[in-house]
Amino acid sequence: MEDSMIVELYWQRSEQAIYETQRKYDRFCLSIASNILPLREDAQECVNDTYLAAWNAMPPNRPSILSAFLGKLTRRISIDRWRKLSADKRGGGSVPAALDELSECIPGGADPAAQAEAKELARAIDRFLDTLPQAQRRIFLMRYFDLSSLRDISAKSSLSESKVKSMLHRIRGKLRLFLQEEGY
Amino acid sequence: MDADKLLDAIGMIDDRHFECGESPRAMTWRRKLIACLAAALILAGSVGTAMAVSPEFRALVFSIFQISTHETPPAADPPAPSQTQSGSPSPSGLGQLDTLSIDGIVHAHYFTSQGVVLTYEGGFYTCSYTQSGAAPSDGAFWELREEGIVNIGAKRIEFPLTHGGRTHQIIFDYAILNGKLSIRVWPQGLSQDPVGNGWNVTAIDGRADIALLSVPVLTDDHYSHDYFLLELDTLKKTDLLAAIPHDGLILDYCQPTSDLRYAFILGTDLQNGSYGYWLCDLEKNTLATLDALTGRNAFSPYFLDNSTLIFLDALGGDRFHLVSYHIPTGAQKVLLEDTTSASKCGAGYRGIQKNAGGGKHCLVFREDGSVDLMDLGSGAVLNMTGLNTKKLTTSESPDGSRILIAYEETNDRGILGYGFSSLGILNPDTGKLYMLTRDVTGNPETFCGWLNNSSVVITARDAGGAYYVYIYEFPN
Repeated sequence: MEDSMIVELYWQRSEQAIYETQRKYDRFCLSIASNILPLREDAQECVNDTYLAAWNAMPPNRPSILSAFLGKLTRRISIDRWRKLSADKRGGGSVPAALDELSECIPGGADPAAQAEAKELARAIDRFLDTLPQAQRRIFLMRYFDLSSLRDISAKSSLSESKVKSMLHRIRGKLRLFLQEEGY
Repeated sequence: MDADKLLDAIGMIDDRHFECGESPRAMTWRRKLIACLAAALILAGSVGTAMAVSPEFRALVFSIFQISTHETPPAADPPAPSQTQSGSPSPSGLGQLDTLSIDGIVHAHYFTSQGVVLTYEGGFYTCSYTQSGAAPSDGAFWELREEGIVNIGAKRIEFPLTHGGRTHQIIFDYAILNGKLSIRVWPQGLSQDPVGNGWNVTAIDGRADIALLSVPVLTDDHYSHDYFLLELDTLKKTDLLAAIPHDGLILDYCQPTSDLRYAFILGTDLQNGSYGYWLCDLEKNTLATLDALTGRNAFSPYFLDNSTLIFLDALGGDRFHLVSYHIPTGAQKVLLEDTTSASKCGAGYRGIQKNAGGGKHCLVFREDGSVDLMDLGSGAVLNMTGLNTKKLTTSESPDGSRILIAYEETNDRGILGYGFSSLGILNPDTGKLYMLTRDVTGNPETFCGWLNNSSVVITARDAGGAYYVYIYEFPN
């Protein structure tokens, strides 16, 4: 079913919306959740929670790109779950490595906790991504949005793992400079 | 700023960075779907042939009755979509069919509103949606009556609520549809935070006098929720879990029974980090994890009735048991044993997402390709062999007495959603299926499901983008 029709089903409060979403995007959402959570049951629960969140968000939301909308929900729910689990030292997956790498990009300084500032930071990252060539942007998103492993990115992009690693290193360096210029 | 904040911010980037349109994975899936449809056609042909030559095989298939209808043309004002529906014989040719003729009734209705929402309680809600999420002034519920689809208006509740150091403006519309409370929340608290950290008001199954109000509370960098029973007439609020010792628990979700005797909650124990489900006895004011009560690894529960919980017991990997748990006695029944994710039930068995499944029956897709209809209360199984069920839309009537089975057509690109060519009404107690065939118009028809216990609704859009619905009445 086309995405616009699936969104329409959500608007009509149709249970079929969940079924069609699951049929089309279950693997997609599960792959994002599995990159973050090592246990299959946890990942599957987060995907189920994604469907519930989508159900609660539409209407009034009418996402133009359903896959991006679901991907963001899955990612956020899965990271929240990972944070809860990590409190019990039960976490794992690729989040710690991604966090270590991202810490290189932080110029230091203030620690703004407000959500508004987080949104501002997201807009800054938007502007940064606009400066990247498409191939680099895809690699960045696979690593830090999808939280895919280097091996998976290598397989998906037909680049060697060392090439992916060096590309990410250079992108992180650019991001660090960009954020410094933006005042972070 | 720390890496956590950066990780979160990356999750909030704009959609423009994602490749537009539908994912390549979706395209792959579509190709697979088309291949499956082709295989299903071949299979259906084989089944038909086998049935024609084998009385024994025919005997395995439950009875199918034909319904021929005289459909009332849609009203001329407002203009209705052109259609030439008829009660033509089913092409299935399954064995010796008993033919039953009834006068079917079909209503057609155009909506002028841009947003038409089919409510879970068997009606419609319309309003002028705004991108800002501001409360519309023209919200209205619609109900099917003898004279057709009627606007019954909406009651608006609006009040400020200060809780946990924050003030929320609670706004929602509600009406009683088919005896059930139907609620539309404005602004949708969850829309500002789709993960669920907004306030919300939801109906409680079986109650038209009270609603469940959930309010977020931020403590120690964690969002939790408090849950209140809200009396709709007086707006009196009662803390549902006030007497339940739940300090140190972060609450994400709560669902009470209609008699308010029990509730289950989903949350995290801050002391040990464990995340899972707890069952509250609201009469004895006790709280226990569902795992401890059942001795299982429980997830996705929902209340089948006021004393029975249905849940999945994770076995590791993709495998799980489907379990029924009688709370007062502690008795358990494994309804499905050691099954896999390939054997999901119905339109996705998802427990807490009650709106997305989880009624009195479920469809079980077996690993050998067969399909059973299971009564979740008794565990009784009706074999559905002979129906290509995986390609159908199925849903249960609100009272659980009948199952709708709708065949969906594709457009010339093989995409589903372009009309429901036949509707089947299955009585699970007798195993009898009544089929009604339709001539589809080619307009997108996105939804086919129960409006109430005796009516089925199909929602559609015409070439100009206007919304309309057909309602078929199938009296008991």
